[in-house]
Amino acid sequence: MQQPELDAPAVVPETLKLVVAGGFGVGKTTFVGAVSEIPPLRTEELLTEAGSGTDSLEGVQSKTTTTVAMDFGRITFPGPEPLQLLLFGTPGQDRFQMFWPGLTAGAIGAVVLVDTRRLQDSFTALGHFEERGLPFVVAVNEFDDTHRYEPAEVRDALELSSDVPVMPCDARLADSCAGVLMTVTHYALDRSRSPQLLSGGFQ
Amino acid sequence: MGRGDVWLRPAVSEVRPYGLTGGRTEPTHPLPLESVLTATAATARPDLVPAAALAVDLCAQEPRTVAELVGVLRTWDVPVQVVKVLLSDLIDVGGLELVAARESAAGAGTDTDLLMRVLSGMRKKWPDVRPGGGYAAA
Repeated sequence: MQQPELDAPAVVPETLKLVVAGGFGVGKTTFVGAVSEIPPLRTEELLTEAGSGTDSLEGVQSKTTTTVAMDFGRITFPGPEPLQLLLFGTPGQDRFQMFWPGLTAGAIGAVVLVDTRRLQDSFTALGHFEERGLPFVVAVNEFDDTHRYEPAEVRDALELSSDVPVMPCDARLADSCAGVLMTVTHYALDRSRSPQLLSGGFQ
Repeated sequence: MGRGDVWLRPAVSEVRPYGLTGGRTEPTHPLPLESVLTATAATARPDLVPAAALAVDLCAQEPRTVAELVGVLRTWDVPVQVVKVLLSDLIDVGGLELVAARESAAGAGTDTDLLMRVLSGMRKKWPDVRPGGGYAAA
């Protein structure tokens, strides 16, 4: 059997994780499916309750684990140093609250998808990202039959910090979702260049 | 990749989940969802259970993340921990290779560089797309 050339390694993309969060039925699956280059998959992860992500569970009966199902999609950016963006649409329900650290660990940023009729469904995700200092943008999924609010109104209603980007989106359209991903990357880049935004102060 | 070969559903669900792993529930490699696996030339597929053979075939086509392999095998009712044990075993016998993961959180400088590469990749991939939320003019 022919062996592959040892000096021609496959170009393996570097992977980056991006979280798409939001309440039940807000369009996370649609969003991930619209921009993914593969048919969207449901993937899953076995998660341990907050603060214990790297600990052994042995002998610690009080810790909880659960299997969380997520939407998965990917986007490859080819080149000499290819990158692959992994999209994880994560469940927004409160009952997963203690597993949020495991869901978002290692992510470069997050998209919080909101439905203006049920803004409260996004509170868990918003609170978590604010607490962890993970850069996030708010994308308002504009359903056909809903009132259109100005981004400023949504920002006020969610009590967001003034630098958090808020934008409309149509989760069914690839370009619209791509614009949201570009925005969160831009924002994460700005934040990484200005660490004082994260630490709230003195550099 | 055609969809047919992946969605085909063999009788693997007639085996109880952890029967595939000899009852083991912990993979020898941690395998977070974002880790990437490639196939080596050495794997003798006839020796593998169908789920493991599929994983090797997929990784032979192109490097795959654990998230994707878990997602595909989930359609065969193989739970995530079983998939990780199978993949881990395949690494141990040399059928799959774990691609070295990026040093995570290696410092703000590294992240800035990486994010700039992502952004430039996005601009190439989506030349007509503009960011929003205050970045519209960029």
